[in-house]
Amino acid sequence: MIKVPIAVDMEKVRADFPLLNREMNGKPIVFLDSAASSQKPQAVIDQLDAYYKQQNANVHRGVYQLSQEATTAFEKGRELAKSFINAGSLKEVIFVRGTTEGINLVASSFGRKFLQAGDEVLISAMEHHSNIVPWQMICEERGAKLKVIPINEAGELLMDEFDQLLTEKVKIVAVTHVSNTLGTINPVKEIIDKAHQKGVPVLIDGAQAIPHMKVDVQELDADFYTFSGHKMFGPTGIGVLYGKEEWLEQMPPYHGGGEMIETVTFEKTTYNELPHKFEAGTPDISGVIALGTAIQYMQTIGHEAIQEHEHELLQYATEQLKQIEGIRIIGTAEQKASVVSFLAEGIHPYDLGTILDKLGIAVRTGHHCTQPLMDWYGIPGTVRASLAFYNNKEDIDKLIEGVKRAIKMLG
Amino acid sequence: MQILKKSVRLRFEPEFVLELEPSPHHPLTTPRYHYITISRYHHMINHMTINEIQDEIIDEFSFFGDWMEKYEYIIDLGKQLPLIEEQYKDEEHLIKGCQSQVWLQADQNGDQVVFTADSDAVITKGIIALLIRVLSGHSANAIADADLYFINKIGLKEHLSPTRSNGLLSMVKQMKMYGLALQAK
Repeated sequence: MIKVPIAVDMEKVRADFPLLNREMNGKPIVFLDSAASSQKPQAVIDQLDAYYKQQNANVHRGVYQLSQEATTAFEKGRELAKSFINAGSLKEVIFVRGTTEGINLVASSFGRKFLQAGDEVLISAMEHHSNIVPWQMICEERGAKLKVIPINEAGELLMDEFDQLLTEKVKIVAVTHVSNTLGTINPVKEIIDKAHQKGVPVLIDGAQAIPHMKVDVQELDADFYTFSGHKMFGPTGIGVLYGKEEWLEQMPPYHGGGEMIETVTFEKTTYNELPHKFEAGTPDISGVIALGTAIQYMQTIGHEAIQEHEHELLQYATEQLKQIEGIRIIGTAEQKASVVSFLAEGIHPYDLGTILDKLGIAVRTGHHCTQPLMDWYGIPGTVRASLAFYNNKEDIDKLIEGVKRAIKMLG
Repeated sequence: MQILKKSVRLRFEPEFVLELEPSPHHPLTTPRYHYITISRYHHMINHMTINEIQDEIIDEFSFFGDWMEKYEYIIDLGKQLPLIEEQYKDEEHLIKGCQSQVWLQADQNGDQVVFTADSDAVITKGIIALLIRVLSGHSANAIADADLYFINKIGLKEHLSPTRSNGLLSMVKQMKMYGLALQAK
């Protein structure tokens, strides 16, 4: 295993991310797009390198030493993921390509088993397309309906409406933990408790929560919780789907192939045990191992330090932006994490983003894969600055300076 | 080329009026100007070939000292030009981009194809103004065969990349499609 550096000083932490030393358009990069994908610490990069240099072999099948070593390292990744989210058992930790695949797996497999014509799936108005479209697809297939929990102007779920919508027709609730566009932290514990009172399982899209806060799936009592490795300082192409054993046991496999079978004949195939039942084909071995390193890395810094630092930066960014004339913050929920979306009066987000890019500032512009949410606000999109623990006050100052300059050019 | 010291107004009855003024981004001693049109049929005055216009734009852009000047000019173009009539800003003429939207309308005038277009983002609109200046008012053949090298040369290639998804690349494709379709007629 690669040693994870011990770091508490956030400036020292920043130095662990080699990409942050590069330039963009001839200026030192100000990376404020971690909600799209985070940068990777040296430890994760080294782990990927070390795997391919020293450990590469297919897992679970080899009798030879190298394959066994790879399998051990791979399954260690599962153990790390399990403890990271406090899953009850290793059987409940399924490796997927990312949050999108996690949701598609549940929508497809749970839907085929439990959704009937006339049933309902309940999502929220602030969902990412990846927590809308898979449900739309299965609803269409099964003759079920998609219902939407509305929000208020601040970007908070209307919990009274949720209570009304949570009827006996609802077979599953799927909501995001943290909104990728607004930064709203949703009251997922309350949602889960209320749904459980009616015997309805809940899937939480944890893509935007996991890089920023401690998640305990048992404490939340979530039935499904899914997240992506690349947003939490791990490699792309790997993610985790946590599912309660009682649900996963009842659900049919999602993909067929190697690994997920017990015996195969042309007449009938029996399936492997959890979690392998849902992991057809050769998994992303290096991805799982390096995800484990990313988890260890985050644990070394500690969730408290991460949250405190990011909260301070978010407050600072919000206050500074508010002081610029004509800036409108989109998403002003009481509980927010690491994302500030905004618009400058009379200026299209694309134009603002283009000028910021020229200044070396990486922000995201557009609808952030939440078109229904943008339609609800009646805006074409926003400019979104999203933070990670490696950002600092100087990044925010450069953003503010850049926004002012762009407004001067475009206004 | 004539050096313009102040705005001039050229009238080509009955269809269009052309206004020329010195570019604010160039000293008056250099023969640079940009034109603001009042009528959308201004494109018909194109007596230059597509490549001649491209070369002219490349030459104009070579005078910009840095990206700021260049973008200020594009923003200016985007702000000043009324590019499309409101009635054409509908679903039928819309080219959806992930980042910005573009509307495109094509008219035929004799053997010339006249384009008008618009966008909700001003930088996109400024680049549209350049694309229209190059392609509009030419024959279907010339449009279909056009090699738009000026975009690369003036350093705006990134705006026409598929990943940018601002509607511009689709717009260029659409313009060429019109050219091809009319060519086939």
